[in-house]
Amino acid sequence: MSCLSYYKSRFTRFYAERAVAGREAVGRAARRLGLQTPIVIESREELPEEHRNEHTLVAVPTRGNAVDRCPGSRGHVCCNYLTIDLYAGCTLGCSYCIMQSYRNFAPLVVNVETEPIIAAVQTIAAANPGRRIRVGTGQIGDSLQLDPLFELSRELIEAFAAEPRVELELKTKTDFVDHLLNLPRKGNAIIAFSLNPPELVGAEEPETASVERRLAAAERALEAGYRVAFHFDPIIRVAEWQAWYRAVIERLRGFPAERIAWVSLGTVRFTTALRDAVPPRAYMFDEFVPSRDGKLRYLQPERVETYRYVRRVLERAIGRVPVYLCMESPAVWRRVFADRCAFPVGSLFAPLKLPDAQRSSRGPGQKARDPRPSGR
Amino acid sequence: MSSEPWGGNGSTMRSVSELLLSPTDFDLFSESETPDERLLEHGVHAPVLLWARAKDRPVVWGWTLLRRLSALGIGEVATVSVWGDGAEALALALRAEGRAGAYSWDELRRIGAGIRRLGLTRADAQFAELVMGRRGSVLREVERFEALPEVLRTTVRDGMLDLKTAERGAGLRESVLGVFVEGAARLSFSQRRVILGLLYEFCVLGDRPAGEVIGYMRTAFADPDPPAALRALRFPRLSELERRFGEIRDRNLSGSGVELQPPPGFEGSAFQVRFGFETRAQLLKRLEALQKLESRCDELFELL
Repeated sequence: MSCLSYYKSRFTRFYAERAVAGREAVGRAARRLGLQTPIVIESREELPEEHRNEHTLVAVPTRGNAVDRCPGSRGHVCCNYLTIDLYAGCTLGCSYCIMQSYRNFAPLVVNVETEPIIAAVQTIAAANPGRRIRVGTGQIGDSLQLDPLFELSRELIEAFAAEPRVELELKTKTDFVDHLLNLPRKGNAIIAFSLNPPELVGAEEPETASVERRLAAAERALEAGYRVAFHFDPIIRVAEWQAWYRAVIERLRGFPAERIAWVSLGTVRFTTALRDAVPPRAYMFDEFVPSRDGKLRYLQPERVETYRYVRRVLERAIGRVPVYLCMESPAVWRRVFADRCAFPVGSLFAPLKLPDAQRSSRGPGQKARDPRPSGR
Repeated sequence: MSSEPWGGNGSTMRSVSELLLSPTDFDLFSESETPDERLLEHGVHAPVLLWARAKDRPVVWGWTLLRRLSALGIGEVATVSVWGDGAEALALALRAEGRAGAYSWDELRRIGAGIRRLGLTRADAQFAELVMGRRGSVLREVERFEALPEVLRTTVRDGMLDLKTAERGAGLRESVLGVFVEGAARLSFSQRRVILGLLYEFCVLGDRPAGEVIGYMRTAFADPDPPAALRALRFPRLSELERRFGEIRDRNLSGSGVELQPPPGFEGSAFQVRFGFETRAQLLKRLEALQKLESRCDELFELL
């Protein structure tokens, strides 16, 4: 994907709420879209019905909590990740995307007001001395799909550069990293790439960058001084899954383990509402069982087998790097990490103190339970 | 509603045979109930409704009654004229019929056709409560029914399947549906729903050849519990876990009075045992069985 031509063909309308219409990031995005100014509205509710689609961008101020806890998943282990809703929505078209079943506003919404976010993260860091603060912008949108237009990640990276305990993660399925490479101060920012075998990317992630391009972008990020992370999530157990995942993991062989912040693993999971809402996909009709959070997951022994396999192949390819499981049950954690816990969970799984303003209704999915292996 | 929908002039006796020759735009109901023959002979029945606003004064409601009276040789019938517009006339006919939610699919199709014929498509939603006993669109309901393959329309018409379940089967090959309908007659309504849902998943899952799916169905239909048999074929790995669990349980605990349960869906880490006892001997028997299980419990944990 070539950034600017991509944006011009993808997005045909740009609205900005009056409160943020004059901000630098809005003007920058408008110019790059070939517009003089965005269409100014009082509130996104004003958007005409015919423009409420994914060809429309809307710039808005921060509303509600600037930083929140990852909602986690009931009955599953929470890793105390914090989320920033910088970019809400995405047009990458992944077939498994849970947002298809619950997001009721199609335009892509960009929170261009970064000051409250920065202040909130700094407050959390101050309230948790000695703790690592893992925070990311890729929860309800792709961290970098729109970032070359708005350059909001730059503002966050520069603001957090002075606080080494803050690990800002920018998670993407694009290769849009070049606008971040020359920042003089990168702090502990981490550029993370979701990975799947090329065969699955082609079939299930139609608008994303190819694996080759993502890995080339990861190399550029690494050379520029960032740490990188990789997310194998969702892992889909097609017939050839072992060979396919082994092949994509082999491509990580050149990445130095000490520069990989973490690797997360998660097998595909979804609600029946999602399965009913999207065109039928064969992989969604594999054998699944309902988990404690109501989502369908592969049978537990198969998930354990999958994670063990991927972890083993990872270790052979890149050595020992921190590996964690996303939205998995304590039972699966124990079985996968029966030998040792690869991720330093002791410090991470104790809940962070969030100031009142950040104590939202979306508390962690469950009380953090230490998933480290217990004797049997 | 107009100010005088019933004409305000009571009923008028008219010739049954002449009324049967009037326009049939409102001849929509084929399963209307009519009073007992003796009552009809004494003129005890609701009056036939005529639409006074239309030129030919068509019968709005009472077609079945008229045919019945004609068959009994009764020459005259009480009628009442109604004045409203087409939508009001149809609403009156539906109120007079009073079978919301109980119309047959053939009647629904005729009602849908009547709505179109009378130019009332925009008023469709206002008939939903009177026709289906719930909100919605009569025309959409009819369209959904008509979009089904003939074999599924028949199953819905015969009450073997509900419309929503039948729609899941609409993408299945006719040969598959044929075998389904053949075997489904012996099943309960809920069993049919389960089976059609599983068949749908089989086909979406892997574009299985029709012959393979038919083979699954025949296997299931030959089983005393067809939905369970088909489920085992649809979820072979889960079924295998269940089978292995049952084998371990029976081998170690059979006859011991101890119940053993895996976590639901084999998701989690804890098995549960339950037992009761009334005597020391019973307790000893249960504990010995559990001890035997303990010595082999690795087999159980391998299932999780």
